[in-house]
Amino acid sequence: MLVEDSYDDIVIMKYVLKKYQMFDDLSAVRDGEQAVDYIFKREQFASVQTPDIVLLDFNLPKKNGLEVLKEVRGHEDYSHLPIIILSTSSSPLDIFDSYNAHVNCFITKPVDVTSLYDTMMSVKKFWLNIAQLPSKK
Amino acid sequence: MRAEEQNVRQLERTVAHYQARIADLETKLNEYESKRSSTKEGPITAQKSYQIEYAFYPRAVISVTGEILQANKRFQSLIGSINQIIGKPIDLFIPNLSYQRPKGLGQESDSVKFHKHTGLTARTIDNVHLPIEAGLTFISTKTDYDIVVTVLNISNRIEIEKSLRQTIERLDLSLSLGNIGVWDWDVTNNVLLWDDSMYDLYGIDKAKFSQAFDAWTVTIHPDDKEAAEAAVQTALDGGPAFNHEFRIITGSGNVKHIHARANVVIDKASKTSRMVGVNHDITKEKVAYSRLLYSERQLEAFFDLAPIGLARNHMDGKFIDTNSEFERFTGYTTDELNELSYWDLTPIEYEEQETIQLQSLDKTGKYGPYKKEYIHKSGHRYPVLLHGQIIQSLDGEDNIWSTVLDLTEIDNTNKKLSRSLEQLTQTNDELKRFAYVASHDLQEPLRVITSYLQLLMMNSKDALDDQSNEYITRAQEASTRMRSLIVDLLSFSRVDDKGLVLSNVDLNQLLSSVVEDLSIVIQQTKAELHITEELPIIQADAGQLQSVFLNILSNAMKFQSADNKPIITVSHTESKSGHEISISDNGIGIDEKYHDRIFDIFQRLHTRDEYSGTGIGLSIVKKVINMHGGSIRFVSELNQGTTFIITLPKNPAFD
Repeated sequence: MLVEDSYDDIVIMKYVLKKYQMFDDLSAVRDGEQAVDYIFKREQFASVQTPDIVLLDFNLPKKNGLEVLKEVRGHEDYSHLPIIILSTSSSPLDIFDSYNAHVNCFITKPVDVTSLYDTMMSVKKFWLNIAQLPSKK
Repeated sequence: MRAEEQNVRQLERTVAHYQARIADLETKLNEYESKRSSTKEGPITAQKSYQIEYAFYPRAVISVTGEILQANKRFQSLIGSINQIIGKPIDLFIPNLSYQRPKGLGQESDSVKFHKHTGLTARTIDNVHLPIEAGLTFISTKTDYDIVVTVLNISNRIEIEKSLRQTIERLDLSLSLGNIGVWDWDVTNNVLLWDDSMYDLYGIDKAKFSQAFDAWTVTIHPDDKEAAEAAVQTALDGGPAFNHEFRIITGSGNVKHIHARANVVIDKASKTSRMVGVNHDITKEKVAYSRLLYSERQLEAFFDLAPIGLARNHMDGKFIDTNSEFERFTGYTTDELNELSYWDLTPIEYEEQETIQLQSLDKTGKYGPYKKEYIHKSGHRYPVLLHGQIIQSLDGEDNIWSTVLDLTEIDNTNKKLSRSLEQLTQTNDELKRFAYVASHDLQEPLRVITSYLQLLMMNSKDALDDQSNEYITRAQEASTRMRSLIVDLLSFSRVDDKGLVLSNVDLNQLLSSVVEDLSIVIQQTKAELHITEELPIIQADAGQLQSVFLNILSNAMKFQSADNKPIITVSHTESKSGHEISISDNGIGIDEKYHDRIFDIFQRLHTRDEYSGTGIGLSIVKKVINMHGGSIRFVSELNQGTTFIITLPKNPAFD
């Protein structure tokens, strides 16, 4: 699942993922509140599946990435969910705060399509092929 | 001998001369009388009578044996009445009078001589001793001779002499003390006599003084001459006595102030007039006075021009004097203030503070500086700073002198300043934040643009013609440049954003790690790097210093003419105060005219086609070095190379 407010980022991300056939069932929401609702299966997201992995933008409307992270980590059912922050920010403070809130990984957004592909490829390989994740409820 | 004493002696001699002349004439008269009587009234008896009654001096006639034959009224009143003295020997009354006819004096009746005897004492019938002098005239008679004794009572003269001498001494003292000269001008004959003090006063050689009126007037200051001459003329014409001040120019060219006084003496008999007077050198007094006047004028001017309020008050608070500034900020006129006390200007709540200041005034004679408020005439209050002390006035009354500074402007300015400072700090913070956020946020759309351009290429490269593909490539290149601009701007804004993280930094290690970072470029350019001296270990921010060396070294390799092998030399010298690190290259050099500008942000000297870069590198270098309390300069020669010289203090005063 992708949490990203930028329409362009979603378009580019989806293009890259589609082109290289990664995460073909990627769902996307546009703000922090929707992200929390989605993960917790609230409101219109009551019937969605819990995502394998969350790609979370840091700067988001309504609730920012850090708040979403903390909320998910505080929820007993979903605290285990792998969350990767994808941020344009490389501010040391943001990075520190994120790891402090138990983010699984903090990645600065790749600046072009090639490196985006490389990054996503690595993420997919690691989290879906290498890392052992808890089974979904 | 002093001049005055000489004058007196001269006078005495003149007097004695005339006395002798008078006695001589009287004797001649006697002689004439005796001749007349001998021819017209028959032979003279032994006891003949002499015409002595009308003589000016006491006179007696004695016989050759000293017996008093005759005495005039003056003699009688001096010695004793006629019946007490006639027939008595003169020795009784004038002991030691030698009345023997001197030898060689002929016995002829015409051989009349006057003999003066001095140092005698007369004894009166009442046994009073008088100092006298006597003149003896020997007058031949048929049988023998008679002696006319003329007595000069000099007791008065001695008194006069004594007092004169005292006067002279006193005068002399005052003359020598007071620079007073005495002059005597015979107007009729135009003879001007000066005493020695006058010559001293005027600095004129006595021998060169012509003793004419003009000899004096030429010495007078040209500006004063006319008035002085007029004052003399007025006195001569019977107007007010001469009492005049003027300046003279002395023989040595100095200006002296003279106060002169004189009286006009008119001798009716001879119809001559004289002016007798004194000159008093008042230069010192004049100079002192004019200095006093000057400083008084200065004080007056300062009092009124002072940009600070000045006030003099009675101890009870009533205003005596106030200057214009005081009147300006109180809103009152001088006259109004004279009716007021400072209590009228002081708000009631300052009473307690005021009392404390008054106690200080009592104890120490001073008060303040202390800040309070005044009430303006129009009722509003404003801040003032007071400072003052007690100064006794001429009439002995204690007054309080105060300086009062109107703080209205200063307070306003201070408020404005601190507001400006606050705004400035805020703006500065905002700017820093802005630079950071802006460059940050700029990356976002740039990333999108770059990505879309790539998507476009991936999607449609084959469908588009070559030109369109080139456009896309150029757009991508521009995006790349923009990204490096943003990255550099971000690091520039971060330099002071984060502050310095200090540690002991071994510059040798730091330099090797920079060389490692640059290894690809070094390989590409085949650059040679020489480090001639061991570099020091200094207190610095390692990360930031690294960017300094990175920028300078990469510049050194970048700004080279094609095919030139970069040779870079790093050297180090140490002085008492700091380290100097020089980095020289053999590159293209920097044109003299850009010397001021190369450290400015975004300053580029070359087109992008020649040399890449954002123009931020050296501004980051300069900022970092400055933050370390150091400085950076460079020397360069076109096409020869550039040397950057970094100076870092040993004991840096970090911002």
